[in-house]
Amino acid sequence: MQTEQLNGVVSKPAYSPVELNPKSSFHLFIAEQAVTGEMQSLFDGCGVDKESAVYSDASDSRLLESLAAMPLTGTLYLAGSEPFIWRVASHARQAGLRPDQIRMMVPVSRERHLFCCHCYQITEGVTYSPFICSGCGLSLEVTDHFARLHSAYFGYQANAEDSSDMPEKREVG
Amino acid sequence: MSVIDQIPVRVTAVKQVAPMIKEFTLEAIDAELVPFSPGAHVVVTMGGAENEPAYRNAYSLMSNPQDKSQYRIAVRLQEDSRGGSLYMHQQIAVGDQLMISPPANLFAPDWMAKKHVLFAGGVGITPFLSYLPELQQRETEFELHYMFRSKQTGAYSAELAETLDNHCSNYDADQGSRCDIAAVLSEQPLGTHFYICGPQSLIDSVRAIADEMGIPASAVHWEEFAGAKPGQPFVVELSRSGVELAVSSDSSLLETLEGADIAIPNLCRAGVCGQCVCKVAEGEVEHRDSYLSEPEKQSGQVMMPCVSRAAGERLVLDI
Repeated sequence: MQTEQLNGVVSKPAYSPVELNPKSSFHLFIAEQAVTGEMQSLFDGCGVDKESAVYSDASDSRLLESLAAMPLTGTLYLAGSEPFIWRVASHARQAGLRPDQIRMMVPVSRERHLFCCHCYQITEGVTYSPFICSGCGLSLEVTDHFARLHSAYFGYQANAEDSSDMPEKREVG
Repeated sequence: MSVIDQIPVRVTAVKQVAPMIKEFTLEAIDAELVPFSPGAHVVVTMGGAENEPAYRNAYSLMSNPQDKSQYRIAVRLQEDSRGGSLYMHQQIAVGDQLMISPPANLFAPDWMAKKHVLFAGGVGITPFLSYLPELQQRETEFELHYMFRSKQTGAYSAELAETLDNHCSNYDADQGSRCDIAAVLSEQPLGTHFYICGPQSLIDSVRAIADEMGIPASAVHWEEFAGAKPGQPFVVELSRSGVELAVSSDSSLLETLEGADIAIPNLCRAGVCGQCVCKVAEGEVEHRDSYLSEPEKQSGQVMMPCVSRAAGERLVLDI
């Protein structure tokens, strides 16, 4: 039965400590830029059927190949920035992995990708709101509504109704 | 709601398709039927004439989902029938009229799947018969594993083996043929989804083996339409109206409420869909559904009247 109380925005991802899946026959660890300490200790803690790799591009063709080669009973562990891990997760789902086969560690930075609902451009490195859209130059209100498909938060013009009424700058994370 | 949007249909053919299974063809009387999605079911209302109890059972639609000219269902005669399947087998003949609900679906295929593996037990073949036209049309990879006892069930097994060729494996327990579920599960590629329809024992064993192998739980789907089982009689009181009703051992609480013209929304009548949830004001509940979470069951504040009953002699519902 679904709870009727909706506290805050439910699409904002919540992360909890990652554990190894003991029933999994294969463990794939993917990190952005560098393997984190948390990922290293998980990697050290599991048996022989495992692989680990570091990528800077979430759409790297070698990464896509290793996702497609995963067994049905494999588990994928992801570390890095939030946009990176969700983009890899999106490729993984396309390859046939189920959400419960994908385990994400707490993102290493609070930087967001911001999707502009006016020009559809995604602006990177967003840490505060309002934020200037890199596509159309509008000041965007940064919401907590997260699109798993785009790995980005939803943004809309902050002063659309009154151009002189700009909300105060605040940090997001 | 269970009592609105009912579609009157006429039975235009009855066929014995296995020793214990009859197939019924239903055609609309005054309107066109609608297409449905693979895996959908309807709730059939039968009986209910003067001095006669009404029975309502959910049956999977097994005809081609695109076919608006007719629906077909298959009914297995249950040994411990509380009336519904016995009524369909003994009372319903060509020309009779029945009421059905619009199709609802709690068992649709996941079209993100790279491959579909179907496990059918006995009359559990029926929802998969509506999967097959679309699986074939989409040219999606699939396998059907069909387990039955030919002395009782096994409807359509010969036709399926012929038309599906190597996509279909038949296992007739009366011929000593058994499905090695672990072997089937272990051979599947990434992106495979599994669907089980049949007795609880089949559902339990496929799920347990899949879990043990590390197959993600969200790739395993199942449907069991066993419906309400009998239990101890009890009295239900409705706190808002003060009405008291006696629930006999053969009737479900939902059926008793419906018999008193109290309409409760419902889709599956098997403790799965969650539509009929009722608030409990007093009394202990014997939970028999697979919808409520454990904490919700523990709380004693809600129950599913389609399958669950009072644990004691009395129950007060907040309706």
